[in-house]
Amino acid sequence: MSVMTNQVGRRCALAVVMVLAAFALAACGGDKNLRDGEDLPAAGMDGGDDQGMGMQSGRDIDVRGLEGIDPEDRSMFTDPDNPLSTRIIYFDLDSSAIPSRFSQAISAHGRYLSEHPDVKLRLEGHTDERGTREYNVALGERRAESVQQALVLSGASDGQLSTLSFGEERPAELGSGEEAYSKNRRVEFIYTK
Amino acid sequence: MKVTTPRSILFGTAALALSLLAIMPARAALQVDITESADGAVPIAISPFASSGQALPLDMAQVASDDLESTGLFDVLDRDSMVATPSDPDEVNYQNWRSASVDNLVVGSAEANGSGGYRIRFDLLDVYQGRSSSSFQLNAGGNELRDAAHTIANLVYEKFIGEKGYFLSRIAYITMAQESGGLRYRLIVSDYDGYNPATVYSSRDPIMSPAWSPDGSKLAYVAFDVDRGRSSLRVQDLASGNIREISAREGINGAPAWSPDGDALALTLSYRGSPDIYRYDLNTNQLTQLTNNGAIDTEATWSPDGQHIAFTSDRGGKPQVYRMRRDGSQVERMTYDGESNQRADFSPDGDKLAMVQKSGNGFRIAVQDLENNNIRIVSEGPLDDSPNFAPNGQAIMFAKQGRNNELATVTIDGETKTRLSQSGEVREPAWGPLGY
Repeated sequence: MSVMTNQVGRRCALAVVMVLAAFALAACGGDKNLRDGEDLPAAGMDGGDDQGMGMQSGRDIDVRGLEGIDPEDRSMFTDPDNPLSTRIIYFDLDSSAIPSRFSQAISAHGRYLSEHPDVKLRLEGHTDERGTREYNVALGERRAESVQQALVLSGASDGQLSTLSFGEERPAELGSGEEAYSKNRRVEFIYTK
Repeated sequence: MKVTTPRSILFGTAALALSLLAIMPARAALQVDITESADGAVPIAISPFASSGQALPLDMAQVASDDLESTGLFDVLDRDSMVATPSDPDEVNYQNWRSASVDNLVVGSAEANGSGGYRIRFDLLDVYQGRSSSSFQLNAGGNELRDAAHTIANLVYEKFIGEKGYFLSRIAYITMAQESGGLRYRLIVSDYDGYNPATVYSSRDPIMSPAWSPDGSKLAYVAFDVDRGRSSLRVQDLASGNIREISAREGINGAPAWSPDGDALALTLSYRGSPDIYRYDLNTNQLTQLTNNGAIDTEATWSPDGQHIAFTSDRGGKPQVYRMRRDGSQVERMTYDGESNQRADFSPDGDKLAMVQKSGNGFRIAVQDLENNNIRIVSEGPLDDSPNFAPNGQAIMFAKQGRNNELATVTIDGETKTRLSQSGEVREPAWGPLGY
């Protein structure tokens, strides 16, 4: 780029020279990916092809989360009369305390884990959309750990349990308002192999 | 800037290497919409740029006008209100522009240079003096007219404001869209105004917390891998696309923040228990724990001098912003206003702190003057998040959540607001360096 000025002070001239440098870099920097406005799913640029997007994906939540359960046992987890069928714990606003209505479910899962020491359970923590995103990841983790501790008290061992918090990033229900929020403040039970 | 060295001429004649990419109109995924504007701005008009050959593929004057208007510091005359559309200083009837109270006028042209690019010249005219106060000439490749227009705006901005313009800077942000087969998350980089979007990374699992390296060559961010049951914090080189995994420990791997020298990341990990702030040295891979208590500590941000790290903690009950030295010592609370304060960002000069403040009006962006601790609320809420200072410190970009998820820009005095919107959810803007 050539630059000519007249009646311009030094500072402007310097600014223009720096612009020149930026243009030269843009032209030689090989940053085609960032300039052509196209989605480029180049090798290594695409993330996992996971299908488990909770309820949004259309995948049945009753199936997701039971991969680690012996097929013969799965009916216990889908029978609505069995406390093991409760595999989502919902929380009050700004709280990681497990509401008492879930204590039967916690006991049942704790007992199942103690009787099946090879089974592993991942506790996925979630929040509603209020507040900042990374702070919500921490709040979701606190909820998952609260459930983890309760399960250990009910017989599970620490080695069977892990936590993963999504914060507000994977809402069960899209949208704003207490109806959606109350469904999003949750910990999901994911039995893995 | 008042120097009037007569006829100081010619600075280098380096030809700009031409890119071989075909000319394509720049797409904008984000739509710009200026919603409020301030009084007391510099009155200016940018007349359409002339071209003697084919019509220009881009309305450069409009791009530069939009740049200046969006800052709130310029009162840019609408094209429809112009008394004439001159492209050369000799064509200007100054009396007509004086009558229209346009103090400053830009006229210019872009001519094909015979090798696929353009030779652009423009003058900044002082309407009351009735003469050119500066004239500029630059060459641009065939696909660089938009950047050339941003350069014109940068030159005008710096001339009047005395600070560098940010019109060549880029932003990163996250989108979430419902697509066949489920949700699709994307990390996108675009020009600061939403043009030229390109997907940097895409996944069916959440992507979070993009952060620019100080030199603008890399992004740190968080990607979830649900099959693996982990999140991972990584650094991606934008030119090559190469990804370097920094941490994929059990629990949280989150909230990356670059040190101003680019040698370290502050990040949040919870593999030892509760979420704490760590420093990761990118040269030695050494990890140092900086906070250690049972509370939540997260959302670190470095002071521009690299000596302090501010972060969110609920160690006192509600989340507030605290500050410590870079080695984790001398922790002190910084925020006392409102119910709670989170996710701070230092201004480039270190004099101000932007944050998300919760009050009876929801979550809004607050700017705290660190000299006197005065607070100014610059957004309406109710679900605002992710404030980021412009690289010259004159504006803040943030995300609006709720019914319409969109990005918004506000001047630091809260006076001028610009919205960047698109279909689907757009969130977590990260404003990169100046770009020149």
